[in-house]
Amino acid sequence: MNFAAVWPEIILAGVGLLLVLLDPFIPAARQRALGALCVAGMVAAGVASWLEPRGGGVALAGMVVLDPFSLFFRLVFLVAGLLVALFSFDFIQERGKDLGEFLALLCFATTGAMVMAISWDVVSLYVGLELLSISSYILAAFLRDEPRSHEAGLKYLLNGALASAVLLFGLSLAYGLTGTTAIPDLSVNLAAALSQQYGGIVWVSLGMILAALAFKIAAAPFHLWAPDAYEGAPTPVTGYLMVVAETAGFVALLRLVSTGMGSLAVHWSLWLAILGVVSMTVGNVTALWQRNLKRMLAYSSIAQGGYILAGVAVATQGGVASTLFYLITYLFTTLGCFAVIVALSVRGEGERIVDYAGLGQRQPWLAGLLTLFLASYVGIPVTAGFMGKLGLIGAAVHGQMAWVAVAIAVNSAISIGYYWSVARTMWVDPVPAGAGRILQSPAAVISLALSAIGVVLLGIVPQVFFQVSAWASAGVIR
Amino acid sequence: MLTILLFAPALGALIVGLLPGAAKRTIGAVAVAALGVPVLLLLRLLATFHYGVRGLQAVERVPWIPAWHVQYFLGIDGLSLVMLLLAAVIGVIAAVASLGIETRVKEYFIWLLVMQTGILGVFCAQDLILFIFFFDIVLVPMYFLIAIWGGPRREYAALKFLIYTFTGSVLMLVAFLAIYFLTGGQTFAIPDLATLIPRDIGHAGQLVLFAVIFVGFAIKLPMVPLHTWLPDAHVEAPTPISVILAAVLLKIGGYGLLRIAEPLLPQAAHTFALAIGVLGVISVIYAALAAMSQHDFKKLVAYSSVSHMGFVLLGIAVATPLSIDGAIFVMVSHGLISAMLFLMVGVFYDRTHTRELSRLGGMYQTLPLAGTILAFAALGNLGLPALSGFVGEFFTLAAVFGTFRLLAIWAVVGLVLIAAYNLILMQRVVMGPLRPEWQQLPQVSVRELVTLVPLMCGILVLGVVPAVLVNVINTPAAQIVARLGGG
Repeated sequence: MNFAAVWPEIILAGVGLLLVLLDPFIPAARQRALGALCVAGMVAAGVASWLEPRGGGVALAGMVVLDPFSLFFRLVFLVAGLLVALFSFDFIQERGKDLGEFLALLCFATTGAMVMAISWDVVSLYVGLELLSISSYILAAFLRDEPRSHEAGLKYLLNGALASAVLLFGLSLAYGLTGTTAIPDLSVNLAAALSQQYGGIVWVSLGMILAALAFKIAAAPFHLWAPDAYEGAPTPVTGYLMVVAETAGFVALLRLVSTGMGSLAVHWSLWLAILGVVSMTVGNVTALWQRNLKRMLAYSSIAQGGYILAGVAVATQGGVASTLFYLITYLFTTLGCFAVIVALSVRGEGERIVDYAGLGQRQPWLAGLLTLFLASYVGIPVTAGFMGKLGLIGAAVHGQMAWVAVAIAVNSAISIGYYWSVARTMWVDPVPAGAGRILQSPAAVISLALSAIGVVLLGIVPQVFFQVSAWASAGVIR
Repeated sequence: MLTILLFAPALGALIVGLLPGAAKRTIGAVAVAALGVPVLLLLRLLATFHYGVRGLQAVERVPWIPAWHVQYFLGIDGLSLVMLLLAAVIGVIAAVASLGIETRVKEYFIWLLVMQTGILGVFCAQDLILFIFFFDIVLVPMYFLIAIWGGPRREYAALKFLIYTFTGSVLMLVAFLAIYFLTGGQTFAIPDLATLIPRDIGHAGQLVLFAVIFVGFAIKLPMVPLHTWLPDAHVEAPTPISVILAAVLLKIGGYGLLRIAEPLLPQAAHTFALAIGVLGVISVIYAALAAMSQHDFKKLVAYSSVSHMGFVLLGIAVATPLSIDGAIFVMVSHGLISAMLFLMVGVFYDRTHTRELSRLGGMYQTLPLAGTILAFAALGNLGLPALSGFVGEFFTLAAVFGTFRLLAIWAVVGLVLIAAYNLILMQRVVMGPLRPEWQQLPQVSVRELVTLVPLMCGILVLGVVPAVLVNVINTPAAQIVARLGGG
């Protein structure tokens, strides 16, 4: 066995274990040292990912593949993990919780997502997904003494476990039909199985896999767990779940469906498109009525997931490239938003939209950056979101799905209604009496600044990122 | 050159951002200076411009997003030049008129400057994606300028503006991407697409694309029945912002039709010509009637804008060199006149704190100068010969008469209505008995005159010597008509 292929995952899991081991011996006042260790571990894992070969070689008995796609998503997950870690120090410590434990779970969850990124076999993909999910269930319930956090963790656990079971059922049916768990072989064998005696079971398998993954990415109508789980989870965790868990769902979708069931693309393409359009519409329209910012962003993430599904649905290489590009824009936009929300939540406010009244006059920088991120969600130029929408709408038009393109366009216009209500609250509403100043630790400021730089770079000089996305998506559609 | 012109206001925004918020005078001075730079650069361009040459000048063209073949492609022809000049001058006037703003001065000028970069960008972008980029940049500053500094219903009006315009722009983005892929995914550059589209896109496809792009710009123009955002936005916006909205932002709609919709999809434009003409006439008449029935000074002026934009549509529909000249002329002239009218609304409102036409009256007696200026503007708006409003409408009507005779007759009816509401306006504001509460009002200030006099000069010069403008726009108008198949 050659374990060199999974050095980044070994490093990150090792750092997670180390955090658990050291945690009891570090006094509460020095817990930031654990934060530094976590950050160092993530950076080291990133460097190790970079040094891995990326030619498409298969390792660990066909379990993992080192192709551009793997590298791309390893780095995406590490960047997301890093940004979340940086802005969560204040929040966790302010609540008197154990930072080491939190960061260890973050490392394990990120390791799981990275395993999904490199998996080339149904089994390793499922193992990665479970590692991510189980760590996430605990993270969602991390504020043990808050009933809402409990509720969020429990809802997430029950729904996530159900989805995992359905996924596993679908995958085992596919295995029964094809006799293989290797993703590249699935596609060929499924096409062959379709014409044989039990061909109908292919549809059952496909349906179960699609439904389970729709659960994981919270696509309507499989989204009902998401608003409660996202609202109740500790705020930094909500940001993490919205980005990492959702992106991981798309990794599974791209690997299992786009690659593993590529031969059936004519059949699932339309279903994914419908799922995407329903998601964006349901998410956007429901978000219009929300008064709680976290819940609103939960519906927003359902809508954003709908946009991204459109890129997968067209089943072309350009579509996958646009999906990958949009996932990066979504990462920076969402984590930027959450960096601001967490900054306010440290002192217990920041969940209700009214908490943002007059923020533009109290702290113009914070309000300005949140406005930037909201504009990016809408897709207004100079921000990443505009380029992301350009890519997705372009992919839909190119993939003969003009109706999906129009749906994205109309939904973008609808979404202004709620994203902008937050901007309006910040800049138009008067400053409430007794509003205090929000202080951020340097780590949180770095996280916020990195997200803002990401959003603006992607919005002004997106060429490099478009190229990288195209490069990473090359092998997905075969 | 164009890049400097574009980003001078943005740079000004950056400088204003670094200044302390209390230094209101310095902020105002920096803003006026930053908005003045484009005017100076344009004056220099005017001197070196080759007016008889077709095609783009002062071109800057570098790849921006090669993955999508998007270029940073700027260039101007006579049409762009005229629009840029209008936008730049109105920008300075609006900035001067904004010097009276008291609250949150720093934010105000930052948004104003950022918006100006977007506006100038729209008028010289020659790449469809770059065009949308600048087009959308304008929206956010405009939203805040209305929502923070506007009237009582400002939040509703600002949001309505944002949603309407953004809907138009994303639909256009879909259409632009469709054009891109249908022509083989090679370029978004407007001049290149003009040759590719007839080769690659069939008639039916052109009709659909034209319809989508037309709706996008018709929202902006605005055209009845897509105009409902305008009375709200114009009425709630603070005076200088109403000026920019009416004088410049509406022109983006007309400009877009002339720059993008017509030259790129000429066959569809030809097919839809009569429909566009009918819509234009409906806009003229409906909005003129609506203006007549308003009790609010500002709302009347707002509907008057819709009404005049109907003439732009008429001119575009007919598509002869004369009619295109007329459409552009109407846009420029309306830019100057509507700016004046909105400034005058501000002049009266600042003194009386009412815009109710029934509460005004007899203003000649207290404010003789202001009354005269308002009369001048209203007469220009009504289309009095020797003022600029007459020329454009005359060109347009003359051209329409040659093509769609029935429409021309209805348009003349519209002209009568326009005359009617302008006269009503004058009668109710400046004539009649003076109400006792307006006995003592401060006279027109120097700052107000500084904003008004250049506009008056412009209106007069264009009305007496229309050749000044016609010579600049003849070449681009001829080029557009040539694309449309010789009219």
